Amino acid sequence: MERAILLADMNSFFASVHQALDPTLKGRPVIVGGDPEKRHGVVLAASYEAKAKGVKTGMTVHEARRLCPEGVFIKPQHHLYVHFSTRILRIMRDFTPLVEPFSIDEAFLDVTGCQKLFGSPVDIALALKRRIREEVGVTCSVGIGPNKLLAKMAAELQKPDGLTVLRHEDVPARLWPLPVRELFGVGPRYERHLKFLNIHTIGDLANFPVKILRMRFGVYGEVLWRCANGIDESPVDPHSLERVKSIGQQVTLPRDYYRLAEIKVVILELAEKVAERARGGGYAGRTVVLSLKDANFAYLSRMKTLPAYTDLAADVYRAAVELLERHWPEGWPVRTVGVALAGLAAGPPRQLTLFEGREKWESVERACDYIRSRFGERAIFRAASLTGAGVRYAG
Amino acid sequence: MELAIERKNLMEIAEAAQRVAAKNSPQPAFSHLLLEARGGTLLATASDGEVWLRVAAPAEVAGEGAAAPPAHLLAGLVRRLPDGPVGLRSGPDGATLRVAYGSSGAALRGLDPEVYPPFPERTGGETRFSVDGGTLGKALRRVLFAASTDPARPAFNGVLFRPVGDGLRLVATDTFRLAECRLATNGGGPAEGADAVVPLRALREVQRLASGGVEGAVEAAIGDGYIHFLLPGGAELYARLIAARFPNYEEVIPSGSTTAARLGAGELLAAAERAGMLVENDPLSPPLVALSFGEGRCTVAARTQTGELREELRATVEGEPVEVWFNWRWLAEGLRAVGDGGIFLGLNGPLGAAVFRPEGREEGQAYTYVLLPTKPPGE
Repeated sequence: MERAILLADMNSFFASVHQALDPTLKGRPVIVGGDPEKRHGVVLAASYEAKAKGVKTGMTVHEARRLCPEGVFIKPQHHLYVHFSTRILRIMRDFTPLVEPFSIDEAFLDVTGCQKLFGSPVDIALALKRRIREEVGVTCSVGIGPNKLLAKMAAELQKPDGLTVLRHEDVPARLWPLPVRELFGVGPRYERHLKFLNIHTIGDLANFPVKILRMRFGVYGEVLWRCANGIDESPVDPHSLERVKSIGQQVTLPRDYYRLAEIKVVILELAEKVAERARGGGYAGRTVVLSLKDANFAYLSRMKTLPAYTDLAADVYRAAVELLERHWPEGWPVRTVGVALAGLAAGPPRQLTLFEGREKWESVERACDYIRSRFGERAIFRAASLTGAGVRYAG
Repeated sequence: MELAIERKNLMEIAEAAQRVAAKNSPQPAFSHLLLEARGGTLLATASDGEVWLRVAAPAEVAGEGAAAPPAHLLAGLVRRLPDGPVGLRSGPDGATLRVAYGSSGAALRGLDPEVYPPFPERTGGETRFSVDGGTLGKALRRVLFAASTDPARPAFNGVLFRPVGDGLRLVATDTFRLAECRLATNGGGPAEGADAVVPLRALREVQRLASGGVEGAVEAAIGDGYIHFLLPGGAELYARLIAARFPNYEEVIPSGSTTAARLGAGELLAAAERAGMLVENDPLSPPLVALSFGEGRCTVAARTQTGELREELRATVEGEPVEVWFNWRWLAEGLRAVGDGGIFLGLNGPLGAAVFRPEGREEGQAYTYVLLPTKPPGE
C-alpha cells in the first residue's frame, strides 16, 4: 500500500512564537537573533513581514537593521521555542503515534493508517494546520507525499501557510526543473561536485547514469540519485531523537588562551561535564572528539577511538589532551574549545582493567554527580578550576 | 666502495634496515641507510633515533668504503631485481650509489656517508644475559601483542624485561590483559639486574631476527637507558629504553581461582573465532563472547541482531559453575599464545581476572595470560 506521509514545517517559527505571545507584533516585521543591546550576532529567524524587506536568516543583525530599521528585534528565548514545539508535537500525536520530530520546527507524520479515522491526507493536513493555528497561534506549511523525501520537498514548494501534494508521477514536472541544490541532501559542496558532471537541475541528476554517480561518490551518489527520482523507503521513526549519538560541551573563552596548560584546564572542565551528562543518561562512548577554534575561526576537530567504552571524565580528558598535544601548536591562540563523547551506546558492556583502580575512580565521579545534583553545581569541583584558566565556575 | 653481492643477501639486510629507518624524519640521516663494505662483509645500519639496527651479509668486496642511499628507495629497488649478483659502487662524490644488475644499472642519490650519525656507544655496568634465539623469538611472539599502542600510557608501549635469579621475565600489558613469559637463560642467568621497558618497535625486529633462519644464542645487555642485542647471524640492535616505571604487575595476577577448567586450547580457539566472526559482522553489537563452565563442559556463546551461536566443548571443570564475558579478540589472542595443546583456565567469578596457562610443562619457558572480563551489556 502506498504510504501517506506529511511534513509540517512551521513558518518563521521563532518569530511566529513571539507574534503569538504578543498580538501587538502581528503584521509587524519581527527579527529574532543576536543580542539587540550589544548590536551583534546573526538573524535566527525573521517574520514574513521582515523577509519582505530583504531580511534573511543568517545575515548579521547589523545588516538586518539597515534593511529594516522599523523591525522589532528580539533576543532569542529558546525555552519558549521548545515549549511551543512540544505543544505542536502533542497536537500531531492526536492524529498518529508515528510522529518523527525532524528539527525544532519540523516533523514528519505517517498518516497511512489514519484515513478511516480522519479522512484523506489532505483533510488531515487541513485539520492539523487549523488546530496548530487556533491552539498555538502559529502557521505552517504541510507537504504530502508517498514518502518522507517527497513530503519534505512538497512542503518547500509553497510557503508560508502552504499545502502541497507531491505524488510520484508529479516528480518529473514539479521537481526536475528545479536547480539541483534544492534537492534534499545536496549542500553547496555536492552542488559544486555535481556541476562538474554538468548536473544542474534535479532532472539532470535523476537521468544521470547511477553507475557513474556510485563510482564518483560511493553509496551517497546512489542515495542522491534515488532522491532525485523521488524514491525513499525510510520509515517515519518516532524514536529518532531518543537515540543520542554524541554528547558534547563547548565553551567560548573570555579571552584567547595561548598556553596548553590553560587549555587543558578548560578541557578538564568540559570533560567532566560531558561525562556527567553521559552518566546521567546511562550512556558510555568510545570516541572522543576535541574541537578548537581561534578568534579567526580557524578550526580544528580531531577524534580518537578508545579501546573500550567509557563514561569517565578521566578517560575523556586523557584522550582529548592527547589530541590537543598532537594537533594544536602551543602558542596558537584558542577562543573556543569543544569536547564530545561519541559512538554512544546505552548500558554498553564495561571492560574491567588491571592496575588503574578504575572501579574506585568510577565511584569518585559518581559521588561527585550526586553531590552536585543534591547541593548544586558549585558544591564540588576541581581545584584546577580555581586557577585563572577555569571558566566553568568562574565569577 | 665497490662490491658484488647476491641479490637475496642484499635484500635481507636492506629490508631489515628499511623497517627500522624512519619514513619521515626531520633528520635526513634517519631516512637513509649507512652501507659499509669491510673485509668480506657488507654492513647496513639504520635508525630512527630511538632504535638502531646493524645487519651484515657476505659480499665480495673489491674496494672498502661506505655509502648512504635512501632506505626505502634501495629496499624498493632490490625487491624488484631479478635473482643474481648485484654490484654496488659509490660514486666519486660519495653521495651517489650505483647499483648494477645484469647489463643494467641505477644510480641512487643519497647522503655523504660521513654525516651518518655513529652507532651509539655502550657504557659499562651492563646486565648481560644470553638466550636461545628460538626461545626468545617464541617468548616475544607470546607477549608483544598484549602491549598497548596508546601513547598516553608510555610504560605500556613496551615489554618489561626483568632479570631474575634463574632467567628472564618478559611482561606486556594494555591494562585489559597481561602476558608474562618466564624463560630460562643460558648459563644460569643474569643474576639480579634492573628492570628495563623495551619499546615495541625494537622488539618486533628482534623477534623477526631471533626466529629467522640462523640458529644460535642472542646475547643481550641492559645498560644505562638502553638495551643491546647481538643476534645470531651477527645483527646488532640497540634501543633506548622507555623511561617510565612499569607497575608492580605481579600483584594483579590472581594466585588462586574459584573455578578451574582444563580443555583443548585449539578447540576453544576455533569456537571463539566462529563466535567472533558472528559478533564482528554486526557493527552495533559489542565484540563479546560468553564462556560458561559447568560440570564437564565449557559453553561458548554469542548473540547479535543477525544471528546467534552456541558451542559446547568437553572440559574438566572443578569449583563453582560460572559465566564470564570476554572481548573475543583478546580471548583469541591469548589462546593462540597459549598454543594448541591443553589449556588451564583459572576463573575468579564473572568479574574477576582469568588466568590462562598451557597445560603441562614447556621446554625453556612458562607462559601466563591474564584477561579481565567485561561486564555484560545492561548490567
